[in-house]
Amino acid sequence: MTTTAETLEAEAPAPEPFHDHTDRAVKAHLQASLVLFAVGLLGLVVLAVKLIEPEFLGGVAFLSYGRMQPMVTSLLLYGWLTIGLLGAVWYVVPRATGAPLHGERLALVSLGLVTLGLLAGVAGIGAGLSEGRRYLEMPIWADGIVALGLVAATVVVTRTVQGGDVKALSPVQWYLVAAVHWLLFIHVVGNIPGLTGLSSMFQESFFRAGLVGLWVGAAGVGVTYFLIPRLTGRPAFTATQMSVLGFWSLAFLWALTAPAELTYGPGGDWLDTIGIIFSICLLVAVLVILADIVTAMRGMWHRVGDRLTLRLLMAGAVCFAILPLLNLIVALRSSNTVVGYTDWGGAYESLAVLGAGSLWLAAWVRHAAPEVLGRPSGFGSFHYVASLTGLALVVGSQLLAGAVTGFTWAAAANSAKFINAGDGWLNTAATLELPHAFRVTGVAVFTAAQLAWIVASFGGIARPGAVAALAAQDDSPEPEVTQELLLARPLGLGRLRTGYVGLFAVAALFALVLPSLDQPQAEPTRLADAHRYYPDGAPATIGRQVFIAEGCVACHTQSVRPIVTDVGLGAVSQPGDYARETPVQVGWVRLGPDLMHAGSRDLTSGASFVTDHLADPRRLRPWSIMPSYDYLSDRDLNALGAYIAGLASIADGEE
Amino acid sequence: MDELLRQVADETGVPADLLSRAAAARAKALGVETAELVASWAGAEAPPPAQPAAPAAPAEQPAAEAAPEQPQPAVPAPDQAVTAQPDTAPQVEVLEPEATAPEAEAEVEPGPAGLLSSFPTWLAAAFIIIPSIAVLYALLTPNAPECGTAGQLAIDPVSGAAVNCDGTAYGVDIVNFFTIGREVYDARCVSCHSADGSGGAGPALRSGSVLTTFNAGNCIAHIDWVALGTAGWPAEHGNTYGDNNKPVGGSGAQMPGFEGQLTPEEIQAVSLYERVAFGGQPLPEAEVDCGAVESGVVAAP
Repeated sequence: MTTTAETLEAEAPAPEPFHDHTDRAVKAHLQASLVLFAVGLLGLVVLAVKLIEPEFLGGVAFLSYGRMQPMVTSLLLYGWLTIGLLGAVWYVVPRATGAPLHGERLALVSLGLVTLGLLAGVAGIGAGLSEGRRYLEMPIWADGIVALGLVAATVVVTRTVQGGDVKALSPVQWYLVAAVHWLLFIHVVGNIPGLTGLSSMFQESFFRAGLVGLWVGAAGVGVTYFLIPRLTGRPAFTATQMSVLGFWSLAFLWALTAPAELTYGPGGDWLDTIGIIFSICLLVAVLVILADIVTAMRGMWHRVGDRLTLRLLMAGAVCFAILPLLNLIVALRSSNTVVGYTDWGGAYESLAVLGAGSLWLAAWVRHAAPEVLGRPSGFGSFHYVASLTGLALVVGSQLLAGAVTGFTWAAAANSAKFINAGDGWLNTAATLELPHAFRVTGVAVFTAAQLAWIVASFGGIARPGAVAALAAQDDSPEPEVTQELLLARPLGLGRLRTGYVGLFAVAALFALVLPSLDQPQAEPTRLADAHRYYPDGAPATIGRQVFIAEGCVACHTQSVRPIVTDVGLGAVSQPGDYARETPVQVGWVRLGPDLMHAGSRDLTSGASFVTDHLADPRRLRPWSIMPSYDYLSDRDLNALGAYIAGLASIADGEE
Repeated sequence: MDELLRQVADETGVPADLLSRAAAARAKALGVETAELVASWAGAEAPPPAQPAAPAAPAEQPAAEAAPEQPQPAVPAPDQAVTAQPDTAPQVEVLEPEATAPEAEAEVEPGPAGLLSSFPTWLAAAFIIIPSIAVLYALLTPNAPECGTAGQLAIDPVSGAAVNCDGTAYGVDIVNFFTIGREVYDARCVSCHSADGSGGAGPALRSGSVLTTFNAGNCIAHIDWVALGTAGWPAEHGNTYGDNNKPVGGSGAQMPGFEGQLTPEEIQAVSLYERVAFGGQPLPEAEVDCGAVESGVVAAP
């Protein structure tokens, strides 16, 4: 393959011989994503350390846990996975199509916009402009810039595929074309402003499910379908009935599982049921995709032993296969009573982002590095072993934390006079100590592996002889164009497009539009009118803004569920309780106590107590892992105290 | 090239036409010229005995393609590889994966035609069964599960709090009521009746004596006695108390009345505790006896 600089300028719309194609856009995406990955991982280490050492790097606003958590999530999701997977798309689609990347400059513009939007958004979160919506914390103007970049990406991918035979596409093209479009759709739908009350929560969960399944999952599967024949050097026979069924099942089912994380939450019961039934069905989709991958690998498993790239790819597939299982356990009502609002949600997240997404992407980077970066990707075995060890520790510690806290809550509810808040939170905090220590170890190991690998990928270990040694140790050269190795099926671009647009619309209808139109969630309850109403300029209103800016929702729920675990936390949350709030701060995990009725429940509360506690959490509760908010101005701190103290229950006789 | 092909065919025992097709397929897969590939095979056939492993690998292709008409080709090649190995001790380790792989592949690989039409039965079954389970779940549990299953509780219409399915506050059970009673007893009663109910300034309660005074079924009088004490009792009930008509103040000690000092629920709870802990009355019976079931006393705030 020619990758000389002269041919870079020869980017012309006329179909050139494929070999004249350059990988300039691929290289730029790859390098940008690796840098952002490194930055995000360093943040992840800091976050983990803060869980056991809350004063670590304390006192600086943008380094506080609540602000860093969404910054790191954005860097990993948008910086590493999205930019990286787009790079993979620009590498894979032309090769699978047999046509050059159509609009390489546009792809570079797309990269620029996505990166600019991401960096602006992350800076915005750090500066206290967070929108307080899970995975959607970036300010709307930053999301707008990213959206423009994604529009450009959809144009490039469509035009590139049109450069080839559009009447017969292979699974690689189905997945990657659909995934890039789904990414744009999900990004736009997730960021539509103006949804009030619980609708904004449905929007968040829809976005989260879509991003994990329809973007990271679909793009990863597409890359897998491409890499298997490349790495085994044998046609993967990938256009079977199974491939077809797997693709359409994934397209239909994944976004519909969005309500799964809302089980027993303030949304409607029927919504919980939708989340559960589609979470059950999703097992089928992943089973079929996995069976197809296994079939494609038949007789080639010995290659997994001697090819790291293939090993990474298969490890990613295993993580991908576990995702729906975890999702289902969190969704099912019986198991949700134990693991709901625990770290199990975090385990799912780690498995999706650090597991499936990162391992798949790393496999592709490792495969493409010699061709695109001009040198093999280093630290093969160390990277592989340490990545999996770190990942296992992280996910394992989160599953452990979730199970231990969940069972502690259930047991505690049965003992007399227990309240899982205020001083009573001591019991929960104690159960989290050991898992958090494991987590720090896991994140550190995982990060060390990635950093070594990233530095090596940039030539940081270019000692004489080292590169040659790596080349020998790493994968042997693969066949160049695998277009012929991918069997196509007579599924044209038109039908494909109808399918992925239509199924996305169906999912949005059932997981977002209908729940939002459900009456009770729009009708304010007495609680909403009396205590959860925020007129402009009131101290509690300012306090709520501070609550959102500081990312308090990363550790505190505002949701009492009608289950044993939540006995003692006050009145069960009703959909209408949130009718006067946008965005809602329902939350998803309790690393600290629930705050729905914090003002009434905690006997020692009162605005001044809350303010003192926020300024120095460990003075009164030495076991607390909450950050000190002494960096806030007095005005903000008092407002925040007023907001939390105002989260009261309806008192007897109160109208 | 034909000459080379014949040479390879002679050495491997594989018919030349099959080899030619295998080479074409293999070359396409590897992205190299067919002639080049055949040449490498031919070179590999040359005396150095380590090399037969190489043609063994391509043999997988004819095995798959020509299965109906000529099932043997794959077999001799691996055999040759195996017999060759002992002679090439230094290279065995390197070549092992190459040499053994075709054997496995030739056995399991059904070929493209088979794969394209294959859809395993178990998968088809899963495709029907798993969604059926989901539909069944939706039909059986369309909304919230019944109270008492899957951790679900009822919601009190007034307070909005999660409560037991019968509407009583969660936590009003034997353990809780008894626990409150013990806490009250330990705080207020031990000074005269001692921690184990053996008595002191006040009469002993243990070994059933508390039930002798206030018989089973008469917890209401017990509660009244604790509430009124020796000072308040005569005005309400006369100069004796209990089922054995003990004289009020007969032991010489004054029993304080706790009405106003303890809540009615706490008095209820401590009476229940004494009857169960010292009188030996079964817990459920004492609960009914002392009106604890109907009262719906809240244990936790």
